[in-house]
Amino acid sequence: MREVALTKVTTPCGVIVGCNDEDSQVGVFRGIPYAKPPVGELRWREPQPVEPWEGEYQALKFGPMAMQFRQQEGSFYHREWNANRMPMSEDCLYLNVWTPAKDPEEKLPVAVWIHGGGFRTGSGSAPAFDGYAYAKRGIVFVSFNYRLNGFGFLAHPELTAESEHHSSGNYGMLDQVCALRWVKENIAAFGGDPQHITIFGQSSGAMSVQTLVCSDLTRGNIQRAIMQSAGGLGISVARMTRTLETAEQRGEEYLNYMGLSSIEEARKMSAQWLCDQFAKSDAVYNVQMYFAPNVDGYALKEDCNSIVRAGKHHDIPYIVGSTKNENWKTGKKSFDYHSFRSNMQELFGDATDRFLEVVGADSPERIQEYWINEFADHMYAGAAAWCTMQDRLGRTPSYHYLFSHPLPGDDSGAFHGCEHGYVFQTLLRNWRPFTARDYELSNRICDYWSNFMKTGNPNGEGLAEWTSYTEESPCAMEFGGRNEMFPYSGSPVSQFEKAFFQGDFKARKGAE
Amino acid sequence: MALLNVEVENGKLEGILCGDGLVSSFKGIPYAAPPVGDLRWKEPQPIAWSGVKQAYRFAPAAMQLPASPDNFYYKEFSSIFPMSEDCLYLNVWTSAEKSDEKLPVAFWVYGGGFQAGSSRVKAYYGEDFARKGVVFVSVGYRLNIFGFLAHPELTAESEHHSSGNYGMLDQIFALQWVKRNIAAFGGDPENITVFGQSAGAGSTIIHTTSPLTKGLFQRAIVQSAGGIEVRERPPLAEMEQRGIDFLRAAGLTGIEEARKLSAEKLLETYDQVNPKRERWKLYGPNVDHYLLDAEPIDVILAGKHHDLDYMWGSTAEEGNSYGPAPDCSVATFEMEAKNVYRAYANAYLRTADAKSEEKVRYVQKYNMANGALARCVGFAERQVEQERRPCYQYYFTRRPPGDETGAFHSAEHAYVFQTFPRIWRPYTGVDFELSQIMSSYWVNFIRCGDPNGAGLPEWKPFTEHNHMTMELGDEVGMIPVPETPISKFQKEFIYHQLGMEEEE
Repeated sequence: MREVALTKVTTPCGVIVGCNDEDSQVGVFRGIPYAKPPVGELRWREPQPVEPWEGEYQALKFGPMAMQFRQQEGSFYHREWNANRMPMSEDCLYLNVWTPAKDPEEKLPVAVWIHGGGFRTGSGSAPAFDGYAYAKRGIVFVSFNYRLNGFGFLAHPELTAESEHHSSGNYGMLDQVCALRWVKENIAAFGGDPQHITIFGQSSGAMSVQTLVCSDLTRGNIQRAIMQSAGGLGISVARMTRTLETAEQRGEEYLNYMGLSSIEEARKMSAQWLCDQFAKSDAVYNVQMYFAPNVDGYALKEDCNSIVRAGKHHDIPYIVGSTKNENWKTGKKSFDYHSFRSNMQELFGDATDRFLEVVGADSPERIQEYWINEFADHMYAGAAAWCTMQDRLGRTPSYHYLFSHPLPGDDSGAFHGCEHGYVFQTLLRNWRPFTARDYELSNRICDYWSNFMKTGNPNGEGLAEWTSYTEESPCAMEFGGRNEMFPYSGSPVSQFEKAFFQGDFKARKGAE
Repeated sequence: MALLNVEVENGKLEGILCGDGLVSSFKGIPYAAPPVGDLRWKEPQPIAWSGVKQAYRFAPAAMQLPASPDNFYYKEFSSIFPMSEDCLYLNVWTSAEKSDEKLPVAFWVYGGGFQAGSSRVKAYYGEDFARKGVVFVSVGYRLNIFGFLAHPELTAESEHHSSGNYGMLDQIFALQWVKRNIAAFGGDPENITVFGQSAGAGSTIIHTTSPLTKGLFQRAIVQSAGGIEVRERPPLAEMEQRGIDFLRAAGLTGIEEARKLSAEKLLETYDQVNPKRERWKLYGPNVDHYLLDAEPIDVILAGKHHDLDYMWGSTAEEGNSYGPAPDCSVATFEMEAKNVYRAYANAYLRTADAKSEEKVRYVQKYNMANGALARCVGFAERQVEQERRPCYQYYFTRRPPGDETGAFHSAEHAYVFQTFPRIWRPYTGVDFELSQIMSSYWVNFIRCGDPNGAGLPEWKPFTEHNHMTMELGDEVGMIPVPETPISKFQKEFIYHQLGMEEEE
């Protein structure tokens, strides 16, 4: 047995050289191409396989992040993650591997991280995401970049027509599929077990996890999944998922807005110019996640909620959960009864009146309260509904959590994305005055996560028992506060949402 | 985005960005010509390159005997690196976005008894330390027979009539390079701290007492400097004799022939000729009247050391990582006492009062910790006596989780450099908080010579009326200096305060 971690591996594509400079027990490979650069004629096309290379590929530097709108200096998330100083390029389809394996035969469990950022921003190599904590626990860790915003999710009839799968607008998602396929085919060279892959992600990364476990393209490539603060069964996905037709209409609309007459013309524009245009989508159209995956009949056959309700998603163990506050500032809100009602009508259809009753929407104060708790409610409901469906379908157990620990340093509480420093043990890279409790919590989360990645069950020595979710007695593991299991049924609004997305109302209607 | 393309006196460099682009690293920057062939056992020579040098990877470690897997530090540092005689490289981490930022500079010298070590040890990986706003430099230097062989032939060929201090001259050459070039990385050449641990601390002490380094740096941190030898740094003539003995034992006729040996062969010969326990005594810096005019302790006693800001400290259980003494019989203990304390052996034995094997075991267990503490307190007292800037003292007592070794020699690295995620130990919240405090103290001191800062327990320097040290452990705060009868004796002994002429 070698004494040091692998730093040179032979994959089907060729030889890749990384380094173990930081730690002889962990080999790090940065910036491995997993698809051809999606530039020029390959813009808005499915990712193409990398051509095998001769000689050694030097995987020492992170690849550039995908084209995106850089966060403003001083903004909340800029201060939180400092994630946007990296060079960016349309040529962004690169992944990174951290391996503790000393021998390719080790067959260690593999974890693939999918970054969030609303399908518009983000990068797999942001400082909050570091592979050491998992490598130290015996896991091969992979992070990667995928196409974002208009580069990753612009649909258009011309694009659909030229696609052999009659698909368009899911390029970013197909990049993820491609990265997973790359992991399946290549990770053995890094000492990873291609039959033992966990995918995990947060926010739109969790939505990505959800679409991937709802897709037929990834069957057999995922053995476990963790969805942090999004995904699940519910509103976030309902808001995200649109039909191919809707996506195509939006694509046409946006090409018009940019003053471009055809895809051919759009392919000739510089990446920076397009990026500047795409950055305006929020201001131009008041649509959450204007650029996001669609139901194209190829990558996604139906909307995720229907797939899950029908039990057609992958039958694997899941961890799903959310943070207590999930608060962040979003666009325009409707506060008067009528606009609120029409807003909600889109989501709840026939059940809108019952929903408005639960909210108490006749009072502006209650509407305001709804908006404040909106995301925490959605994400609780999405996670709990997902777990409920697993239970109802008699599937592999799922584990529910709530991250309630308020972060020190300001009054943001347990905000959306606050768990990254804990999950990756990168608290030291954040400005906040963390204390012993934070670090202990980080150790626990990291241990639960890595146990789950190894066995499909988060439990292990020295950890409070985390029981799987049952519809009969819904419980969650609390990270923060009690730091143990507690009965957790969410707020009345979230209970309504949960029941609605589980499809319970129709059933009850029938019974009435 | 942190600086990525930098031009130094030797040529152009390209570094590598960490994930957020906030810190860049330049690894393996050649600062001197490879000391191979005719340059073996010569003072370091300048180097230049054309084109852009990609400073992406650490250079090999200096030639050294690999740690054996049963060695405590094998697991702790997992220092299994490629090595080469071509080893004169340094590494820079910077968060500067422009070259005019004038960030404070920290120059780290690794330890390893002058026999082993590397700037690559993960416990002192510089990325997260640099994130706190210092330009962090770590330097590779020649070790053991390659770095510290003295010989009359070498002395004769030296324009400075010096030999056997190559490893130290490497460090100084690098420090001079830093002074001239660090501004290109956004560092302030007028605000440099030299710091190191163990032999790195011994090196730091030499830098504070050498005429060659005057004006090169502003502050020094001395972490766990050990050794209570009467002559810690022997005179050149004594080292030359050792060199003659080595060549003879190796069957070599002279330096010319020795220079022709391959590096591997020379290392093997060093391994064969020198008993393991003696190596650290046989090859180390000497008083050559070039690097050193006198023993560092004597320079300090004479008040001729550089007038800098000083932080000195040690750990509570320095010796625990080396295991119990192999022989704890009273007879052996008394014999060793005579070798070390000579004329003062009886006084020492009275102080130690170790008349049973059990007592000897206890005294030996704390011997290294007592010695290191003695050095710290003695230095702080000299600063008071000489009305110099008072010394900040620390005493590290945290017993890291994972085993029962305690506050061992080198335990503080993971706390100072915040490298927990890379080390096998299951560090806890207490460790994390201590680390936050310690790295802040270090960075504050490096920035301005005062470790104190907002939100940190007040660290009072050692003064005439404040014989206190900062405890860094489960509790953090000022405590009376934890001197023991033995450490007091050793302090008087090391600093020649026993009031007796030494008698052989």
